[in-house]
Amino acid sequence: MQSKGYILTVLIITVVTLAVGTVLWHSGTQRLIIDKECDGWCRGAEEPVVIIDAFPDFGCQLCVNKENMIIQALDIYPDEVRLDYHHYPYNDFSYTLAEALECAGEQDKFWELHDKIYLEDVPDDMSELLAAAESVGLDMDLFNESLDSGKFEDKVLAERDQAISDGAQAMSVYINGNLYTGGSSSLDDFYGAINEALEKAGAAGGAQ
Amino acid sequence: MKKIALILQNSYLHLALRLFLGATFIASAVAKLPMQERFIDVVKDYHMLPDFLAYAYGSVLPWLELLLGVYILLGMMIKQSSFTIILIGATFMVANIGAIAKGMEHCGTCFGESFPLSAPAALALDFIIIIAAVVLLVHGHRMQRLSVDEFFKRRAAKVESQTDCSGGN
Repeated sequence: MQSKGYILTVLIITVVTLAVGTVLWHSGTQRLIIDKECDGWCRGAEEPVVIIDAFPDFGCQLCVNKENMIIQALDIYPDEVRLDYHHYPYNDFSYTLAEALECAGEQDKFWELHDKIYLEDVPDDMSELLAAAESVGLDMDLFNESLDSGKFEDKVLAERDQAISDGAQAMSVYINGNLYTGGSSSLDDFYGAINEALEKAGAAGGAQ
Repeated sequence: MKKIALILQNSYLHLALRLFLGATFIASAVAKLPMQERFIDVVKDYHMLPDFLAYAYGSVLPWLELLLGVYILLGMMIKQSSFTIILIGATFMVANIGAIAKGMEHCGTCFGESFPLSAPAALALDFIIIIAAVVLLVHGHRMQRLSVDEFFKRRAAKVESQTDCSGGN
């Protein structure tokens, strides 16, 4: 039989712990303030009703699956949905891959390399990355020079820092600023979330 | 063998294990709580549980980690906390083995963005967590340094001895 003092101590510590937990829980941002103007890598509708902000990491299978879903959704909603792609590298090689996308962007092949990586196979090392870059028709001399110079390192890091300061969660997807939490297994759920956002935005007159 | 048994009974080792388990669980909870929605999303994506169970697991786990971390750190209900930690550690191991089998290389939600952990490293950590909790479960009844349990145990013993003395007089 425990003493009253012991039970009271456990209760007090439990309540204080739960209170601290509640503060932490509330500190997370579930809503992102979206930028209606495209100031980075965007794809899809020119005047979007729904903006999907993606913060993927290449080493995360969940992100790869979600990026796949988004690309499919862009085909289904060509006039309504826009993807705003944000670099949010999380693992070591992901930084190199993010810089590689920027280098491909220099040759107007950002999305070609993006699709090659996300829709086919995420390179695990430099040789796989170079093979992917070559297969999308990049000028490899320019690409290698650009990648070796590290000139996009600061841009990638700045974008990641911006995402953090905006309250974006790594490896996440936001639909009109709302965190999408439907997983990556069901396209129907994803389309459902887009339809819901379309209805809401339509009623309010544009991307919210 | 005897030497190992003696080491496992050492109260300083128990204190170190409590500090390790407490810090690990609190860090894990602190990383998960602000992004709980996404954590649930990740649990669903492991496809190991039906959606409603994945939701329940993802909703409860960070809070349980926080409470267990604090309990074990302060030395409260050490045996019960250790037992629960073993169960949770086992679920972590199953999830990480599943992740490795599916080719998911990183445990992105283990400790949040500030401390990226590869899936094999997360699996190794789970193993260490379970071993540490087993040691505390087996020896949790022994003297625990700097613990709430020990404080109240000593206080009860003191009161008892005082009662015995006064009863004897």
